[in-house]
Amino acid sequence: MPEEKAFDKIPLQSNDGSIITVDYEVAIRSALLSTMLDDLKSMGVSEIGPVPLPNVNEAVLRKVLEYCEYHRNDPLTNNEDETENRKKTTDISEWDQKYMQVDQEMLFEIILAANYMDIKALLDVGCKTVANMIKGKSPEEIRKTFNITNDFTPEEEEQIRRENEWAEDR
Amino acid sequence: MSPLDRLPNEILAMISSTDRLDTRSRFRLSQTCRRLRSNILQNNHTAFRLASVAEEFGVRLCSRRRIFHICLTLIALDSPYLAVCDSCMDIHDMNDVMGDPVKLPSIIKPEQQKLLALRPLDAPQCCSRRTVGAENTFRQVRVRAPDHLYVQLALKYKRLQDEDPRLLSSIPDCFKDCMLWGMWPMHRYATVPMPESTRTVKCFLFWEPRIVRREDGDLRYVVKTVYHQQSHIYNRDVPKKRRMPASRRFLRSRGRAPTIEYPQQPLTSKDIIPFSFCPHQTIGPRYASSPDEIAEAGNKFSRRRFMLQFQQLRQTLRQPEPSCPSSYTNNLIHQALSDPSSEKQLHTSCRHCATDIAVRSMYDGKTVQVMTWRDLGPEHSPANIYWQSQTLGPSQFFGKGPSTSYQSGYFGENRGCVGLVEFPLHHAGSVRELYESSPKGGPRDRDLAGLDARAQSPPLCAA
Repeated sequence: MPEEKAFDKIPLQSNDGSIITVDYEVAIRSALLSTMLDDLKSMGVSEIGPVPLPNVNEAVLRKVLEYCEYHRNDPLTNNEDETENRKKTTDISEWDQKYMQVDQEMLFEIILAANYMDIKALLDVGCKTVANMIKGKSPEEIRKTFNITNDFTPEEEEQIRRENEWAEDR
Repeated sequence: MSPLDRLPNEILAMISSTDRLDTRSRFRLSQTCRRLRSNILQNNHTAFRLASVAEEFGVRLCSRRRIFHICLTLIALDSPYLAVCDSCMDIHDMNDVMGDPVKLPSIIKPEQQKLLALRPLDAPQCCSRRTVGAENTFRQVRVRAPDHLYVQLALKYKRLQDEDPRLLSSIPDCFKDCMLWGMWPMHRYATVPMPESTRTVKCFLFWEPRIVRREDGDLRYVVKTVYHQQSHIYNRDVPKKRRMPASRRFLRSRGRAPTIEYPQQPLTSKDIIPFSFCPHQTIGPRYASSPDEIAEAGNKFSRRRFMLQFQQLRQTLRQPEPSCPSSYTNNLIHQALSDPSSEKQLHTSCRHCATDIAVRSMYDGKTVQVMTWRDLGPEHSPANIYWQSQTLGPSQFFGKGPSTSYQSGYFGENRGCVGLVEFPLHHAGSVRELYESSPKGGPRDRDLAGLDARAQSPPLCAA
């Protein structure tokens, strides 16, 4: 029997003050919002004001909600096994791949927002995307891709060179 | 500022976890900056950390690569999804292997070498590049050397299954088949080798591996090999008109004519087909004759006979050393064949590996049976001495081979006779005892009952 909905529409407020109203099914993709709405429901609250999301700006929130909207009918899983299974598969669906074709800044914003709003599926896709960007690259190429500054001391560089002997020299 | 700097450590750990990044990529990521290095070393890169610690404590006897490989093995120990590839020294996620990882392997036939790849085509690239040499070559079928990856997976899955049967229930059946793959090179073959000098002998080989638990709780992969050589009915001494005329066949089919019995002659030591049953021991005719005996043989000149004798002489002179481990076993075969009526089993063992050997002659000397029990070792990296002593050493690997393999200091015909690493002595008969302590059937019958159909029809690869 489907669970009875307490709220039809949920207004969400980004850190720059804009309010975006979403359906209940979309909002509960976020475990953060889902828990909060369950608590409000158990307290007998029938009307809900804008839910502040201080770590997410409007552009990122819209992007995150786009993901939630597309996946609104996916089964909600709290099962650890299924989470494990999702981790084990390395492939990303076609829509998710297109969704993740954004600039690097937005990509990391999405990951941080997914982490904050506790959207495990989105966080997983984000991590996979970053991992795919790392795969097959040399340390120098990774530095260039993510604008990482090499802050190793000469001693550490020497240690890395020795590690290379173990792993890279075939 | 790098966008990665904005991510908290737990997300960095998620990105660099073994589920999403392979070891080499994690390793390279850890070389980019100090924060990532400490994060990855703390969370995932236990192998490098352990290897560094081992080195700090002065483990100088082994190579650092070997330590590294042992550490990788430790990481993959309890995960049914991870397998350490001894070819590329890396951990592979079984999910990275697309499709069915246990389908028929590709057959690679370079023009001269005629090697077989043991890995499926869609295995990780490093795996598909590796080819493993054959242990023995019959006329049509090569008996492949045991493969470390599949032996280790078989041991691991058996252990995990014993510990918690539910753990393996989530793994697709194709991964469980790795238990079968661990045994895959070791099935039943029969063929008739036809070199000029040994036309009359038929060979028959049967391998049956078992995973057995020792008294100390360790699982061991032990293989029993039964090797028959028998005097073959199509004997060159038999008159050539063997085929019956059609009329006689017709009469015989109705029981009106007796079957012609062709004479089978007893075997001699010179008839034995060369065969290796461990990397240190070979049986064959070259142990049967002395140079004087060969020199005296035959008065009439025949180019074919001359070449044959020349080859035998060359092989005899090339015999490596009087203390060669093969000599004793060949003497046992000689003994068994010289007293064919006793049919008594004569026992010996190899002093360079955990192999027990039993020899006997059967059917009035028309068949000689050599049985071996080989202990391929516990769940471990290829650095394990039991594994190393049972493999062919560096010569087994072509192309990218691990430097951790058995380093033999001897390059004679009996490669591996003299190892740089001394093998711990085992009590003769202990491997056989261990093998027979396991219930009959071993893992194949008890755990892979549903896979027996596939086991019955092993893939044969023509030369």
